[in-house]
Amino acid sequence: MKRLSIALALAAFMIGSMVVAISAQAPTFTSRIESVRVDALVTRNGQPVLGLQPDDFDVLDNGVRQQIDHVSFDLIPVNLVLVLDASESVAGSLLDQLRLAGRSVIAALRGGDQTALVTFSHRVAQPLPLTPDVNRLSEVLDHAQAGGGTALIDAAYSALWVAQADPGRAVVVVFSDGTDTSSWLAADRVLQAARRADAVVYGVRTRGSRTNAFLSDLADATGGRVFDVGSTDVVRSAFTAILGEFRQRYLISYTPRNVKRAGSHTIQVRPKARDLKVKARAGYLAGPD
Amino acid sequence: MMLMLAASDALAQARQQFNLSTPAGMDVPMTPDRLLRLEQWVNAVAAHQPGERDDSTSTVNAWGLRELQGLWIDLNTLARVMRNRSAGGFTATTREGFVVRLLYTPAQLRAIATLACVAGGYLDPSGAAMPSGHPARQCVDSVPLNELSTELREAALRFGRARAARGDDNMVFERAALLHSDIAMLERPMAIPVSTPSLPVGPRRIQLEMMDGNPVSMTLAGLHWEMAETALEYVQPADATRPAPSRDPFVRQWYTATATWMQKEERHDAQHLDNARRLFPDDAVLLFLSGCEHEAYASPAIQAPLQAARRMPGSPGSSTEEWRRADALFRDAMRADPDAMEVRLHRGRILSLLGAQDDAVAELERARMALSDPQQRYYAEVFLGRALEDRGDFAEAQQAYARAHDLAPGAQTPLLALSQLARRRDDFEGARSAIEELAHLADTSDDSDPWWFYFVSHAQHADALVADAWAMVRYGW
Repeated sequence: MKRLSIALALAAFMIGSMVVAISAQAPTFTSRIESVRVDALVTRNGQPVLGLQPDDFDVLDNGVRQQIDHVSFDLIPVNLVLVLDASESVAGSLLDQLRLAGRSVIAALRGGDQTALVTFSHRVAQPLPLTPDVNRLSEVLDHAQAGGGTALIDAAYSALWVAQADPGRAVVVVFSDGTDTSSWLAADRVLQAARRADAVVYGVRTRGSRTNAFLSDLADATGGRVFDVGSTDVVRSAFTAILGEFRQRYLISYTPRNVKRAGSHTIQVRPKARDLKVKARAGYLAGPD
Repeated sequence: MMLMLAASDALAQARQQFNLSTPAGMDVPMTPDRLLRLEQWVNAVAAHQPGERDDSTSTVNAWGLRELQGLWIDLNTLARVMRNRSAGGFTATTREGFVVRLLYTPAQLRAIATLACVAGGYLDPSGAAMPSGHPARQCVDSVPLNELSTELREAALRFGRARAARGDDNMVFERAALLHSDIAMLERPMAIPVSTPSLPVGPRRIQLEMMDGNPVSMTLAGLHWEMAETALEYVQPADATRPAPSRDPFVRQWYTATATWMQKEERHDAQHLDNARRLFPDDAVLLFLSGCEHEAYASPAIQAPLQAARRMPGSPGSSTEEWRRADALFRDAMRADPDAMEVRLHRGRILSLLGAQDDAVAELERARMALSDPQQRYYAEVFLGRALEDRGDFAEAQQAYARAHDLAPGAQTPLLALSQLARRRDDFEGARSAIEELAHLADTSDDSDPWWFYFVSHAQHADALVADAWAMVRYGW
């Protein structure tokens, strides 16, 4: 798929984008523009803070202060990728709860939003690619079956690619009630992939899977967080809470200057007001491993 | 999936010198129900149809923990009396290391001696021609055949015919092993709570049942495997004066078949293989199976639910500890059989996981060139790909993953690996296209990716092994 250069605020995260100017006389030329997007949740006493402007933030890349190109809030459509555990332990009432949760998420989506579904047992399946026809999610969920092992890590990796299939603003919501038992990919490699990806990952896990650090690490790496639910009844409210929280995040864009391109970068997003807290990705990776 | 946790000292007790005198301690007197149960057991062993569920398996399967522990005590006593009618002063060692006296009244001992004559096949009429002092002569002189129950008489005749045909009295022990194995494999086991009161001696194994990485239940189980193992400890070649099960081909085949079956069914029991290797320390197959056992212990499917049970005796160690154990056993297996390429395949994977990529690549290259089975070659290629990738040889790794993809076009694993590798090489399009191909795989069957059943792949011939082992005894009946 060809990646196109559009407005800077919507530029692909750390992907070289092509700018092509064509005229009847002038030659074709290309240049590589790389911008970094950071999804940031700003809170005061645990409550989201709205209405901030670019001047309200400082952004440092590897400790070097950066000029913020753009800050947007709740303007950009969401690409929601649901990643649902369909292993043996989910069969029965939990699968029913997941279907209800999926339908509640559909109700919270707006015009322009897209949704996709990835399911996993030992097998990773993508029964629904990113689509603006969000009502199809309900149909696909109705046909989902549970059984087999748990390939959470493989599924998370696949979901990151589904999320990046479109240059929208991607949020990946991963639900699992267990520990990975079947994946081929190593957790640390998928975390590296997540640090390069332009998606925020939220996790929802049941009490039995809290010892599983992968979801926490994945959420931390992307600036998301994990909801631990004590009972399956609250899965639905967790999903809608995630979507609501995501819409209250700021999308901060900057073009890295005065820092080396390749390698590991730390990002610090600091609100200038001291009583505010920020949840955002801690860094990113650029270039090959 | 099942995992045996607490090791039992049942076999150690079986090898105790039962006639050692001991200071006063706990006594375990025989009870009338135990004597009745021992007789029922001898009849069940004689009547059982190996390989089938029948009255024998259902009767013995219904016995609870204390009943089986009592049977275990009396099986050992029966075996001792069978070989030495003047044996006495029976003791056993508890799990805590205390020596207990096993008490029998004279009448109980006489009854056990009668059952020993039946089980040993020493009531064959030819015994009358034996010199005095010979077990057969002693049995014929002291046990009137026509005073036995119909079942015991039938059992006596059967064991007698077997002894005459074989030249040894091991049939009862081998058939006992088949009976208890069949109960373990074919019957629905009784769920015995861990808190169930037990005798101070006898088998006591804790089983952790797991599903999809979660602990499901913890019960006492595996008792029938211990009964079978104990019975086989008394196998004694005709030319020997003491038990020597390691000299018996059926015992070796039994351990090989049952250990393979356990791994096929994901009923893991390291104790079983430890016993096997104690008897057959240089058997390449048993060494390989032992390595596979520890390789499985290192997998997430077992490591995850063990976090709550890790401190229990006999429970697996960390993944790294189990990989090291597996590596040592695979090395021993390779020494015993240098041409066993499947061992190199598994060892190569373990070496890669331990970070020894150069050694891993060497083993896996050798395995992939020598293996002819497509599924095993697939494993060799994906494991080789990962070892090469971890070593930084990305181009060679991509070739290995691509070969794996060619061997199993419907498998997800090579596509995930190719995507991940492409991503690491900053080949965004390559990474994305591999994931897209994964999303459009048409084969959704549960065997489309051999990686999903790697940990049981080496054990798929278990049923044939069991049938062959059982046939070694059945046709001698």
